[in-house]
Amino acid sequence: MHLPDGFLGPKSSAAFMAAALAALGFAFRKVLSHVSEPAFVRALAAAGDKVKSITGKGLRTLSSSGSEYIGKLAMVSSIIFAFQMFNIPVTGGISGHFIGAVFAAIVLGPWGGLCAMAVVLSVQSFFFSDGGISALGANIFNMGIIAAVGGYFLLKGLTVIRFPYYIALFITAVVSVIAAAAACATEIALSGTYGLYDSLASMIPVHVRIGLWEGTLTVILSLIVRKIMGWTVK
Amino acid sequence: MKKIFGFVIVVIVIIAGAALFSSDLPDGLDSFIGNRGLHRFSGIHVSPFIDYQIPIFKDRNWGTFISGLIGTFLCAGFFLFFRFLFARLTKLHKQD
Repeated sequence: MHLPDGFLGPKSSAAFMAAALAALGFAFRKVLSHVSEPAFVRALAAAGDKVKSITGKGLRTLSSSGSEYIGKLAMVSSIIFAFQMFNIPVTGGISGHFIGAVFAAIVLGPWGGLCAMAVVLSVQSFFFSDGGISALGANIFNMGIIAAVGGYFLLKGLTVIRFPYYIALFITAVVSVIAAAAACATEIALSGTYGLYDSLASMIPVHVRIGLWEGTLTVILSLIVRKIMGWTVK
Repeated sequence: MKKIFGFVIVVIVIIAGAALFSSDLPDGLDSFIGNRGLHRFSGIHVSPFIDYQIPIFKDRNWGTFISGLIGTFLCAGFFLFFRFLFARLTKLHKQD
């Protein structure tokens, strides 16, 4: 799933990097507003009963729930990195593996999930050469935007039409892997490295199998974090 | 604290599993990694920026295991450092 350097042309790489940076900027702002609170809220609490109100805006401080949330971001990103170590070779330098994007999205929300995936993919790319640095934007687009953000909203849609939660979660995880693989194959074809049919034919069958594992593992992980860690999954 | 300790143990077990599993693939992965050159589990290179051999990384199992530990530490460390920095920069100072 990780596109290496040289698979995408310079224009495609730049376009995907721009798209990924824009989405990450938006996600980071969402996460930042989620983990912080206006400074006067904390100042008011510290002042006690004597001060009834403080006016002012601008400065924000880290909230206690926000501190816990960032701890979750750290734990989820590290477990996703560990699970992504199980690689299955597909063809010509592309590997298939557990993505964990839907798991990240249900624990952290779509934007937190995107941030976690971006950090995992960046560490893999910069420190371990798993996925090219020039293809990092495309990899974040496939596994972060399509799989995590897209997967989250697909799950929401399925639960709105009254699918049982865990069945919807399984389906979403399977679809997220196949969708990300299809996007990856399409990007390779658009860059002219391989034809669209060849790319899809080599990626999709493998990722259907990986998707079934992903669905099972996502359901198991969500049960574990719910029952043992006491986290809420959305 | 117990939960975090348990979580760390689980992550280490997953990494150990990946280290053992990846070395047992009959063909595919070994040659595939060789073709890709600088790969995290190649057992040769730690990073595109650090181009030298570390003795323990010559052994694929150990190389994979330690790469996994470094990677998970980096992922978690990024967010924990961000939390530290954010809390530090936006800390309210009490004025007497």
